[in-house]
Amino acid sequence: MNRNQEYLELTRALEQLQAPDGSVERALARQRAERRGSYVIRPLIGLAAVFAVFVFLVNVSPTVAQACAGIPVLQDLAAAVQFSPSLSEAVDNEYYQRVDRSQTVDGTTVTVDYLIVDQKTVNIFFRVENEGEAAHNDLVPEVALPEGESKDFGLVWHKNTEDTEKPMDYCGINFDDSVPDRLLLRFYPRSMDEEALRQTTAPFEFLLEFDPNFTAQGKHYSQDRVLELDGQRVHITGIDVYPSYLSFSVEGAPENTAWLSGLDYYLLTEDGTRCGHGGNGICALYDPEIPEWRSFRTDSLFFRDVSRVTLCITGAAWTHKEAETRLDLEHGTAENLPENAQLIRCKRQDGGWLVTLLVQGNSPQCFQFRCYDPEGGEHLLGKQFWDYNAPEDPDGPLVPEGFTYWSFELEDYPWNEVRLTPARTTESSFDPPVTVDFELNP
Amino acid sequence: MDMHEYAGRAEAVRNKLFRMAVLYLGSQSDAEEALDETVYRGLKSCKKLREPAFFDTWITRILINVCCDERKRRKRELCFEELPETAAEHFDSLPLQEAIRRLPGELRDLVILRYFTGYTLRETAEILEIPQGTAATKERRALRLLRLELEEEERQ
Repeated sequence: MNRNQEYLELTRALEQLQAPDGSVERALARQRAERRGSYVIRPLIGLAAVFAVFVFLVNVSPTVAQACAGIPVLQDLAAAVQFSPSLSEAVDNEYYQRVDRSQTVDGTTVTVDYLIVDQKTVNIFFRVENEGEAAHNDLVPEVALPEGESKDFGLVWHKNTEDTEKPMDYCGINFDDSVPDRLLLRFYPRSMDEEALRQTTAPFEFLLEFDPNFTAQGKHYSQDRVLELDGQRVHITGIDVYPSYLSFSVEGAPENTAWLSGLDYYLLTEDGTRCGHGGNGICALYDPEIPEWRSFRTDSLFFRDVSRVTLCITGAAWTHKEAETRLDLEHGTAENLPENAQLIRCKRQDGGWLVTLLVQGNSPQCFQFRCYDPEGGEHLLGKQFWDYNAPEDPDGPLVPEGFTYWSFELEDYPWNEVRLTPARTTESSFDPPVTVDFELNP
Repeated sequence: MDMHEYAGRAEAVRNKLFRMAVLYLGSQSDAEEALDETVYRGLKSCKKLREPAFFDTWITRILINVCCDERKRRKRELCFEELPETAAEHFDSLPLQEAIRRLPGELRDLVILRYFTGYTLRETAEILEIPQGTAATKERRALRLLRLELEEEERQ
């Protein structure tokens, strides 16, 4: 048989081949799983005093990424910290702890590469690599304190999925108190529920021990400044500067008619450097006891020689102290729902409820964390999820740009009604900004 | 391009992409994985494709990249080892499908696109991002190595 005959036979054979069905469906499912995993915040454990608000991480292009590009060992880390100017500066200043430990189970290798640790935050950079059809191809990170220790913390996980040259994933553990000496980092399959996780050993476990030189890093500057915003008085009590972020603490006056529920702001240094909302996925902390926002974060100035900063407030959000939304979980109806939200589903599950709303805007979390049952008992919202597919149609189309499905759990909640406080009821902007200067003297 | 349109267009070309992947990788199971990866990568970036008319060349380019990645990953395997253009006798001794798979990179891309996928010389040059004249030269070199003498009407 000559080549031309061979060619004709080969083309005929190829024409008989049919691609297996389902490529598009599998791609959609994979994207959904990746997106679902990209933005996860787990609520604080134990008797939480502080909750963290999640913001979508925004990629920036700090010069440090280019500076590190020539140093092979740091290339991956430089790429992984690009979302955070603070962490990029830390890397630029060689402020990181190399871990380089791997575990392989059933064809999946988890490697913890680097830590960036300070007094309040543990930033973990890790990789999950699969060989072939690995059994553990959808792992979720979780942390636990070594036995006998108790601290409140929140976890933000940012899964890098956009680059085909996959950089490291990021997991940030934020402590209300100081960072412990060590932490147990575990990875478990997403399919494993919490009860199963409690009863079995996670497939991957790393005991992380932190260099005390790093866990000591952080500076506190006491302040005593009172501002009037929208007729409400706000007291700024302190500024904390850590390698991971800078935060300023605020207290609303007791006589205020509304709780402070958000600020738009930036920080200016003497040399004109402008620091925006920072904090590696967390932009503010909320105290449910009040309930009010008690500290706001910017990108860090830890590695800079700065003695004076100006806080420029361009907007504020408030929640009227009497505002309330009532959800009838049994019938899936709502009273006084925030204007940007639509109640999609209330689903009974495991002795509680899973509530899903479709929310427009950049802050899908449209209720505060504390809620009340019809008998007046206080509860906290449980796990929260962000998704781009409707819960009743996971294979259906994604929501339009600017919308997000936000779900929260009400755990151990047998009641059919819940009262919630809207995250905000009024917003205002200030042009020119309200400014206040601070000295950063120890 | 939005995701709905993408899903429809990807579904329409999946058989063509699958056959190309079989030629690149030799086995149907590898081709299936390459097709899945291609459709997934396309899905992730379809919003960037502003002109639907370029869909075919765009997704074909993604498939070629996916197959090349897989070949690089498996470059130590004999069946993926490229032969130099000077190894004419070696090409003669191989079945056509394997000979194509072991052609030098750009010649292989060109033969697969032109003779098994139905692209014109201009479209092939666009996909490979090379001048049309260069594509014509490479085509002649590839056909010479494979000892294929096809008239235009014989081309599939």
